[in-house]
Amino acid sequence: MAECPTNMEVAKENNSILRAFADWARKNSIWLLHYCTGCGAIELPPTMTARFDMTRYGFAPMATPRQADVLLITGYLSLKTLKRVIWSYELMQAPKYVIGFGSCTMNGGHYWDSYITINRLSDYIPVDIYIAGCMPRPEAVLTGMLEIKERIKKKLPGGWLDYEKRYDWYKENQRKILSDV
Amino acid sequence: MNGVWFLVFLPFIAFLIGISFMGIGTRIVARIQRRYGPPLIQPFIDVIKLLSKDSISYGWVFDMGVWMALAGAALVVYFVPFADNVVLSGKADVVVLMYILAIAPLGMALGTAQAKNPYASIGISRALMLMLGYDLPLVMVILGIITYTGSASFVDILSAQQGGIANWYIFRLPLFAIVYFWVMIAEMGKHPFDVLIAPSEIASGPMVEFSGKYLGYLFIYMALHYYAACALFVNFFMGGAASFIEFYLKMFSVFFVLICISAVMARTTTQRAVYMYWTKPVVLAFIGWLVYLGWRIF
Amino acid sequence: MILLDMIKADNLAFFFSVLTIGFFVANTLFLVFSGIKKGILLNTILSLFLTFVLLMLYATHNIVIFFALWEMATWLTYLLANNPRKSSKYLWASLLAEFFMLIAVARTVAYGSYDIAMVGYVDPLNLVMFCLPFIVKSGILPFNFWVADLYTGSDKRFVTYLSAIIGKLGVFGLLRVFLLSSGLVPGLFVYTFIYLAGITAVWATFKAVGSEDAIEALSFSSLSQVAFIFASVLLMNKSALIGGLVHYLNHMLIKMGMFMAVVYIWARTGTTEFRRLGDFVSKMPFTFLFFLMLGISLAGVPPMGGVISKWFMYEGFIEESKLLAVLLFFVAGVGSFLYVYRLLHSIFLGRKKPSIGLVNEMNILAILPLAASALISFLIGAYSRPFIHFAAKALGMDLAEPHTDIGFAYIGIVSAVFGALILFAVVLWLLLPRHRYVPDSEGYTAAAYLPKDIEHWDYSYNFYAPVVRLGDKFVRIFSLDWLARFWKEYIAAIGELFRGIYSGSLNLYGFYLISVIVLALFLKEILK
Repeated sequence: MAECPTNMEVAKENNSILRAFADWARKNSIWLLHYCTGCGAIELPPTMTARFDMTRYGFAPMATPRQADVLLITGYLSLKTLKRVIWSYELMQAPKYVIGFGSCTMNGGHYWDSYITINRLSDYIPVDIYIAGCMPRPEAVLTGMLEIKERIKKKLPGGWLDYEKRYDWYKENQRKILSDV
Repeated sequence: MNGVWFLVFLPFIAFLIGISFMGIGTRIVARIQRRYGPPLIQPFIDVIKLLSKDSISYGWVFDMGVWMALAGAALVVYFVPFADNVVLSGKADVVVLMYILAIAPLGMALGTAQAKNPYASIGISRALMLMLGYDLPLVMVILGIITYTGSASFVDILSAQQGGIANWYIFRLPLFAIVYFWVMIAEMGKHPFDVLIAPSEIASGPMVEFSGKYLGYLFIYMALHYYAACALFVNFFMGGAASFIEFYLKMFSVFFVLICISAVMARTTTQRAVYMYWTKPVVLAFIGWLVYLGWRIF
Repeated sequence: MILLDMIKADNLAFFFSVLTIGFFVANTLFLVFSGIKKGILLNTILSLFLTFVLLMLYATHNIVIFFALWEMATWLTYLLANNPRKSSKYLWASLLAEFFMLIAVARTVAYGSYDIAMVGYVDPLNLVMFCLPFIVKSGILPFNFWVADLYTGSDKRFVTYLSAIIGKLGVFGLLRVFLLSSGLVPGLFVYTFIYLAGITAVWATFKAVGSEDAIEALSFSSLSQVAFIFASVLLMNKSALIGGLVHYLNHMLIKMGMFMAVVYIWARTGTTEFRRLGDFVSKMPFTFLFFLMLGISLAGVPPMGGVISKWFMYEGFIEESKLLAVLLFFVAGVGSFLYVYRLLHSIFLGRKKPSIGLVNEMNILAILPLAASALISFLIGAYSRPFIHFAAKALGMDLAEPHTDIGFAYIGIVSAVFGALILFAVVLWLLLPRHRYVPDSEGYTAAAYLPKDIEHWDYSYNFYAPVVRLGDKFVRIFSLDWLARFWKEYIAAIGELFRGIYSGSLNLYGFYLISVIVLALFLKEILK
């Protein structure tokens, strides 16, 4: 599991009790966008259902980006899907996080030489956590999700701040590879 | 603790009761599905998280809709007797209540209309059609209770049920209780009549464009609505309650039966649900009219 | 003026005259300043004449003058509607009913009196014949076949007048006759028509729910509410009568306001179809606000006026133990939620249609009647005592003991609590993290990439499809198209029969001539 490869400033130290209360709530209730972008999504149903049960940690699947906190990029990302993923990511409301499932999001995985998939996800949208594997088992998925909770607890800055800061850089990368964004 | 403070904090107490129902309900469903389920205060955490997120809005009607939803839901709480306190009562309690119950969904509907999303519009149209469906047996039951008691005031309905368990309307008017319970499932938007939400078909229907504090307000509305529906059943059919503990236990028993039924059923389509509501409960309620009220209904 | 004195003397006439004159002034103000250029002068002059005819109709007690003025009102309506093809059904139905009224008038005059109070004394059938035009004018089953055509085909400048005043003339007639001869009304007549009115209300609500045109939806809504008022007046119960009159006032205000908004939109865009309109709230927020208030009043939600009038009417029915009728009218009331929401959603909210565009806000003088009607409707709900006493005075009742008291302070308390809760919601909303406003093009489209085509991402056609499918058969039966078709075929068959008689062939004429001569000789022989 790699960290986000950019240098970001640490979040402002805001010690008010309301902010602490809000952070505790945000840590314990994380809504995933139920958007299965690639073949790695096959590991999501076992994580949600009775055997591994991620709802006991406070995760829940939600239907639309407007309601979700976390976007899961599960597996390879074709250009067609990338356009829609960027649209969905921009519809989500801050604070929002992105989890990259599987090796395809890190370096292209075993589709590294395909003409239609991307190799580095973090060029196009900021990624907070990667979960290694092809595909990662539910235990690995759960560990990755719990890592998000740790990041919130430690008040580490999320990817959305980086997206705001370097918006032009991201947009240029997106435009280079897609025809219209 | 009575008086003005009670009046001011009644919606908060109702909200907490509703949240506890939602939490225990999710846990019961999880246990039925042989897994652990989220912590009991999960819905409360959800609401706090939603209220702390960013949000977007589509215009002033969108904002107004959400205010109306919250205010309308809290307004209903003032009309339903809480344990042994009948807060706002008059001659026409029940009839006015029927109309006040419609303010909050109207607010939500107006808000979603300005979101301009067809998923939301389909969801609201389904919700309104389902309301047309279940209002027919609901009105039959309400009219039956009013005519049986001779008055539309909650004070009279509650005092007619005092004096022992055998006096509860659930035992004196069982047909009405069954029909009202049947209608309650659709009113609360639970399986099998949750076409209104339908996450996989219409992307959660009306709530598709709500985010952050707007969605938080809708969650608060849902919690208050759960409280209002269960409390109404307790007051109509189980004789109200003399103390808070008794009230909570009675409401929870109603909710428990509801959850158990709803956890094992799949979703029905709108047309079938409306057709069903116009035939089976209506027949039952009509038999109830004839049996309990006699021929004077014509 | 004699007319004014007569009106002031008679309480019922006073009530209706005040309403009609107020409506006429408001409507003219709106029409003049709404930007409609053509035909306003002729329409206003004819409407003024119609208003005078109605004032005289309200004031008179003479049976013959009543009949003459009623006929004149029918013909003037036909003229003002300006669409002979579509208004013909209305004209035929009204004239046929007035024929029976004429018979009743003649019989009463033969009985020896010219007063309306004596109509029922001849015999009960006389009363029923006299009241037939009232039933037809109100559009109760089985006389509901003309309503759709007249309202949708009528001249748009007149449709407000039609819905607010003309549609309810039947109620006035019923009140005038029944209040003076209440003991003579046959019970069977009352019973039958209350249930017929109930079925009409439900039928009209279904048609309004399934309609795709704003004027059509509002006209069926009118029919449904008028059926409700008609039934409660027919009941002759104290609460129901008061409720009926207050609902008359309330409904007039509601329909006046709603039709004004729709007619203004028609004048600017040329269409009133739901699927071609959308998102008018961005340029017309005040119209939307008043339309919303009136719609809430129509649905009967407190604190607007609908709840007071409907409560009184329901109480009247419950007192008389007519629970089945209450059920029918309540279903019609719930259906009203559906079409009110459709009107709001498809015209004002919703997505802007590029082919139509948007329309600027109404002129301040044109929006004044709309604002006034919304305000008065709100007052009926929040501060209803004066209106209830006005209605009771019109009926000649004394409301000293408030046995029909809903607790007027009750609605006031409800409104105050609701206001406080809204304030709390707003304050909390302001304190929470900031929100931002986004343009139309940012919507959730379920991964269909539409930012450039987002104008078509809309749901405004066939909005209530499942319910329309379910109620289709019921609606079709009670639309009486099958009956009209049956009569048409029957009359066409008889016409064919007659056409055979003078078909033009010489053989047949020769045959006629010879048979007539033979018959004449034969008769001459017999009668010798």
